[in-house]
Amino acid sequence: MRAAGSGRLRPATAEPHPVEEHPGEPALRISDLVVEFSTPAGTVRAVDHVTYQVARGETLAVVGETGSGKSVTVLAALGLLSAGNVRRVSGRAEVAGQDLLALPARERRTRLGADVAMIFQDPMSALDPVQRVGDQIAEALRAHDRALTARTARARVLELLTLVGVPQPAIRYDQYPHQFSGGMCQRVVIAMAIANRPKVLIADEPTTALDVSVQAQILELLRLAARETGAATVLITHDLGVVAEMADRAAVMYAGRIVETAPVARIFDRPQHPYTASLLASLPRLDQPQGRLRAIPGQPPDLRERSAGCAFAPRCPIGGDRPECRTERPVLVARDDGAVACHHAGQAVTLLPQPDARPSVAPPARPDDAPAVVEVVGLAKVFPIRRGLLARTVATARAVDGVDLRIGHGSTLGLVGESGCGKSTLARSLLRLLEPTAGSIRIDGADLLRANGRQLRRLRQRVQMVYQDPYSSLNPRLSVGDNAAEPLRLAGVPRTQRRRTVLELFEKVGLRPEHADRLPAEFSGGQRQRVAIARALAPSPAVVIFDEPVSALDVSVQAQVLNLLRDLQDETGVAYLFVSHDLSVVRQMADTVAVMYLGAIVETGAASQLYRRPRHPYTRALLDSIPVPDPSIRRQRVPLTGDPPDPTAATTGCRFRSRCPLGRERAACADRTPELRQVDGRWTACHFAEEVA
Amino acid sequence: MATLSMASERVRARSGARTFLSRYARSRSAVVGAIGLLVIVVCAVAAPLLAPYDPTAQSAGSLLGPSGSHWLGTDDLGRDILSRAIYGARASLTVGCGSAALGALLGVPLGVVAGYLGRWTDSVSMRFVDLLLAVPTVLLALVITAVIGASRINLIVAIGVAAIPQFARLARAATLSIRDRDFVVASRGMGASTPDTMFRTVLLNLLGPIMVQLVITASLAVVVEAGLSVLGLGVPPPTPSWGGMLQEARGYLYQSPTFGVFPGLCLAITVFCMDRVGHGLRVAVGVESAGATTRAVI
Repeated sequence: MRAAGSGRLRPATAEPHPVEEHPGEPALRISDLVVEFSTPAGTVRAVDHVTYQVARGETLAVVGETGSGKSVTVLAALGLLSAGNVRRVSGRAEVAGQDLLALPARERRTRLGADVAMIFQDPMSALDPVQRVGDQIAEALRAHDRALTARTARARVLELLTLVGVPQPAIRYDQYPHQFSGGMCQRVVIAMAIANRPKVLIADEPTTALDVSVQAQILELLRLAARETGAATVLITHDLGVVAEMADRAAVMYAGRIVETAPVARIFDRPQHPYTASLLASLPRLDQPQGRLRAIPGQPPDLRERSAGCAFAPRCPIGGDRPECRTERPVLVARDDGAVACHHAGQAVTLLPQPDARPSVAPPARPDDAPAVVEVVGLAKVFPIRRGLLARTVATARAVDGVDLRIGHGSTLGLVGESGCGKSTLARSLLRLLEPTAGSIRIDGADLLRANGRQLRRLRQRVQMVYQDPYSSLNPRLSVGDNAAEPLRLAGVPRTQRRRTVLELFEKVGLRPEHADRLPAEFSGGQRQRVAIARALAPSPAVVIFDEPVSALDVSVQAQVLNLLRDLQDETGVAYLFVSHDLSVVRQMADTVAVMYLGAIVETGAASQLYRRPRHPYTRALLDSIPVPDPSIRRQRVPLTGDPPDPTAATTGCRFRSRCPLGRERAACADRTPELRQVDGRWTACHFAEEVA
Repeated sequence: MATLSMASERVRARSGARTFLSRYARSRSAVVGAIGLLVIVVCAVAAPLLAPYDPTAQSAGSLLGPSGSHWLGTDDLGRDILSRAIYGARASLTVGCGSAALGALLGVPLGVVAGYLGRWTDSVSMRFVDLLLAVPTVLLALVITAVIGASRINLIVAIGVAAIPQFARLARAATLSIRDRDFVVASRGMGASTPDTMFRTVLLNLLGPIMVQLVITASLAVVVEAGLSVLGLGVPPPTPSWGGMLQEARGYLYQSPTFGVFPGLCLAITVFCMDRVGHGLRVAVGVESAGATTRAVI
């Protein structure tokens, strides 16, 4: 894997992105696009007079939150909207001067794939599971070039697979998608997309479903694909880091309209629209935690309730009360190297946190010697893998393999790692939702694993959990108040007292107490997560486990929830275990951080130290892989190659060895499993930690 | 596409009951079915007020055709057919609903336990269900009524036991699909006991599909009840039931067509209405589209 791709993918120099002129006809021009859906509650205008164009070789990032219309725009432009309730699609979508929307469906189809190619979010479902991977690419080739013989097609496919960094293409050609990892699938999808040298390449959240280290690889590959084909690229994303890393220009969408468009450096330096500025200000930063994030109040608007004024006005820190914002819809006006739709465009830049105004001191670090609320020693969880008729155990997966943890009273431990590293298994073991194979867990000194039925239920009241997906973690048939009261009911608290506690909690987490009798379906994701937080805090637990609590939320809502968690901890002194793959979020929340790889903790220590000077090559690589929302520090990165290895494979020596930039060839790494040892004020499991700078 | 799901979600939000009704009303035939069923239920409940005669009184000559005093004529014993048909709704509805309810009462907990606990509990209970399923409904009912005699209660027991498999399988499948959802895991994580999780958290979320199944099973039960009555194993005479009337009319189809036609029509209309209501509920719960064609009954 490593050999094939990395050499070609790495840019030759650390030059900033080429800022070329893009003369002549734009490759893609969308103008005045309007898309409406009819719903039982009325017409929803999902895309409202959107206009943008992309030149050959240029990358335009379209940024926006859920429901902003960023995906619907391109789907409609390509004639791919198939929902039955599409009411209206109007406007023009020109590819090389030819309006796709005016073409008959059949002709349009032939142009898709030839002139326009799409890369979707979920690579697994973009590939046909019952067809050989190579044949799928060949089919894409031959669909547009009937003259191609089977043999030349195969040769072309092998070439493409090599280009996108699929190792051993000749073998991989004949495999099926399920034999590929997510990152590999995305490489295949990209190969298919560029097979016919399209003029326009559309990537819809191409890395959202992937791990950080794989994301970095795929972003590199996308850059290569754009360079190889010279295509105009539209990159649809919600991640401002990806925008800063990849795009030449960005268009910010809000409530179905473009509110600002400009070259990337301008967008990040001098945002002109208050929404853009607020988004940038609300992001947690990797370099240092802020006391509080500047959250955008409220939630994204309901598209069915169209107001006459600016859609952002109710949440806008500048124009909220001004009459013109309420009554008159701002139009896009050229301004400062771009265009912006705001009545008070000049003032947005003041919303950005000033470098000197940012609190440079981290919040007072909690004393490390605080009494331990959770103490985990040597925890292991082994899953048997059964196959065959008799369900014999053929292998074992060591999901958690000897983990020690300690969470002090009132402090926050951040647990970081990629998917499959065992962090969720670990989190669930702490509630004994999974039965650990070995080790011990003490909650407030009481042994969780030895507890019998009743003791266990009592201990579980002390440990509460907030789950990732607020849409599935609340019981849809209970009112939100009853949902939040569940732990109290189980503890035998009488009804009236439950009610009182829940109403108080609702107040605390920022929900209106009078909404307690509504069903979860009436609430947005952010509000539901607040309900889940209220539920977790209801029995006054000693520790709350957060399993990716904000990753399902919109960017603008994330900051609200993170601030809330901070406040609640300050108020109640509850300890947090904060599990996440997002290092910036963990930086914002955690006092100490533990980095997990393949079931074991490879590095742990104070957050400030770990982020500033990582000593484990894996921590280092993770930090390097994150796209930072600042185009001025687009760096030469050393991305991790390959995917996390299969946890069922028995490894000797260091488990990170196969992907490590340091230890691949060293004997010590193959022979001895590195133990956690103290290096530079933190614990690191690497033989050569001193070499990581 | 994200927009769509978000929009529809917020719509659902507005008012649960209202949306449910508006979704239900999307199917015209379901509305017709609901009205029809309502009329039949009213007939059954208010039978003494609506029926012109005592259904067991032998008032006039036998096998009279329709006339001003006996709109649908009289049967072989001189009883008013209209009155008997109105009272007959009671037998059909009580047996239909009673047996569906009994089937649900026994089958749903079995299915939930099997689906939630899995492993051998699942295997054992599902093999039991297979066993029940292997015996034809009518045969099972025949055996039960033959052993413990024919009465309304026995009919309900017989048909209800035969309905257990449908409910058990439905509940098991639905339980399996939500067993690993976060809110069920969360319930355990909060310290809920297994029965609490099964019969509060899980069961609460199965009510939609169970309700649909109840209506469908009831319509089937009405047909089975009629069938058993024709075989002479139904509600014992002189209590009127549509199936019983059909059986009595068998010998007089030429002399008095209305005798047999009307109870038959009543049966057909009831089953049709129930089926349409089931369809409407399925649409409202979101498992069927409004345009779907009629499901074959039986």
